[in-house]
Amino acid sequence: MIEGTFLDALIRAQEVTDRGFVFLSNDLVETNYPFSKLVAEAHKRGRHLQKMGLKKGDRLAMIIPESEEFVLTFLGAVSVGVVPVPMYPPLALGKLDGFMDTASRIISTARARMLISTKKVSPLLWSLLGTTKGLEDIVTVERLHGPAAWDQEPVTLAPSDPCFLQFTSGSTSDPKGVVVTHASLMANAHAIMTDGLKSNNAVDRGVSWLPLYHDMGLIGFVLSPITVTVPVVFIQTLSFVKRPAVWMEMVSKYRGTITFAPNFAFGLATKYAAKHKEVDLTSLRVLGCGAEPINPGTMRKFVEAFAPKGLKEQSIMPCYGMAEATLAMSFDGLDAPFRTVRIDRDAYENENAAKRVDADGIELVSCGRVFPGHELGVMDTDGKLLADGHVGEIVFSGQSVASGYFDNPTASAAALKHGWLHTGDLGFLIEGELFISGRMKDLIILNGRNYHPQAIEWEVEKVDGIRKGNVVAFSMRGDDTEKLVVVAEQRKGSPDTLSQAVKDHVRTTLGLSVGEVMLVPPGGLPKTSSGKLQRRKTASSYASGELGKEDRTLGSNAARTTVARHITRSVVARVRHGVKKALLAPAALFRTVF
Amino acid sequence: MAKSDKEIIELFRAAVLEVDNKKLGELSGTTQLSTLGLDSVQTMEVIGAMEEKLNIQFPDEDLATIKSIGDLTRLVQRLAA
Repeated sequence: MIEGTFLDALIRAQEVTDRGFVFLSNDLVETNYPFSKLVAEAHKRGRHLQKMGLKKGDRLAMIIPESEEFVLTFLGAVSVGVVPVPMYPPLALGKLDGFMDTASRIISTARARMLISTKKVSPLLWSLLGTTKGLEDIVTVERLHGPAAWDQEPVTLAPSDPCFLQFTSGSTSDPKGVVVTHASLMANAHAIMTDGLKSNNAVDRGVSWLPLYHDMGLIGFVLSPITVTVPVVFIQTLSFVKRPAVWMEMVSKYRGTITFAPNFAFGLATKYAAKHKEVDLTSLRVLGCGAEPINPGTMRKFVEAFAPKGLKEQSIMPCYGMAEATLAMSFDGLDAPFRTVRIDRDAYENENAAKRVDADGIELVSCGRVFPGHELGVMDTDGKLLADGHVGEIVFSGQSVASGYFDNPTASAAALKHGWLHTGDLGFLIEGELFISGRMKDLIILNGRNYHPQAIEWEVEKVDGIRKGNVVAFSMRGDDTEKLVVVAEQRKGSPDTLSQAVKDHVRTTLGLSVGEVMLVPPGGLPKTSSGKLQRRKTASSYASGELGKEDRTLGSNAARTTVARHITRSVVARVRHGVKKALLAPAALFRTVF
Repeated sequence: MAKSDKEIIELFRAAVLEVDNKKLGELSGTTQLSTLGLDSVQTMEVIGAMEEKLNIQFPDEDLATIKSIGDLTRLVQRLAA
């Protein structure tokens, strides 16, 4: 049983003056915050937030791209019991409309009265004021910079109090905010830092470019390290996407020992392997891989590319987690290379059984064992726990389980049944090791047999001309039976030849007939803010005939009108909320945009 | 040194070739980036390659507002000015 709140841990960290967080700017210029300074700055920002009228339990929406400002403001809110709601910033090219819709839904679902952003980004956001139910004000972090009066009573927090709301990355039309409590956060932080990583703050150093609005970046590299005062170096997320070599270069420069990323990032780093400056990866002891399905081929290529630079194969650590479990549920062992099993396809599809085979079959990566004090199980649809080697829904229990979805008892009750968190993921256990094989809702049922969409997608990827990692397979009601549909992003080749090649390959390797192959240009598949494919959204867009049409008929004027419309709404909203809140003169505003 | 629209477009074309090994067809100021077949990560890779070639940095908050090649050339010219 882990005692206390995250605030207690934050106050303890104040004693530490010789290590802390380093924030790197886009130019890789360092700003150093020993933990003592980090906590002092957080307390100051907390007082400012109190002064603005925020009280314990109030939600504060946050759209802050700079890691330094994000972390200080987040901790400031937590230090006075205000509940931050981290949201992704509008940085993707030309996606402003979709961004505004999602942001508005998240803010109203969280019932946040205030949104905090930065001077640079807020001009794009002002229109949220007129269009978002319950949102009363948008403030900028610059208002938290000056000295603060110390005339407020400190808040007292209980472990059961909410610490922050984590909106899951799939959040779109019906966003759900996971309530991370102080108790679930502290339990998961202990599981991650002590049980999983066996961290030692005298020798370990984290390096992360992960977005901070996402659980792996925020809990894994900001909050958990604070509880045990492990130092961390933060790279701006965009720095990594613009120049992927920066990840391993910074691990090398700062002698990083721990870093994590989703599968796609390993592919990206490998693609740029030759563009890296001289790197020495001998310091790295944990390279965690999670947050999306792990492709063994991607991991092998990464190891192959970086082994000559001192990367140890056993540093690769597959893991499993989700926001509803606060973050992590299982880690692979520290000293073993990652392991895979191959299971028989027929037994998996017909009998829901994982039978090991030596060759062929479905290859799956072990996500390791559950943390001490927690339990992982596999359950059938009647709520019965299954034995080893049987495929069912992964369920999880223990103190790390978050306390449901904010203001959504129906969804909470569906996820937390009979004392177990129902993950919605399919998989099995072999001698305590967890293997994930897919999502329950994505299961493809053809002629009474269950198929695993990933197995089909990974085969389709092998066809020359298809973009790796950008394939979605699902089934649809056909004329008289279910038909298999494959939607794939096309890199090259003629559509007719490529469609036929996909059909032939799937028939040869899996014995399945693809009813329809739809090829879309790269970027044509719906994805979440963190780049995960959205199978269900793809299926529904396909069914409604919208797929591949979005955003492709706009002329330049129409596109620019979108931006102008948001800016105009922003100006109107600002005027409505009083001139004193104007941050930039309108002329400067337009210069920023055009 | 100020770059002309044409020079910036050629730089963009070279960056796309480098990132995705793809040859783009005709490009003009009104060409929408969303029609070029790049996903969001590749688009950022292209932006990164252009920053390196031009020795400039695109401010984060300007990225969301770029929709067309014309938006991009105007932004580059403003940053270089």
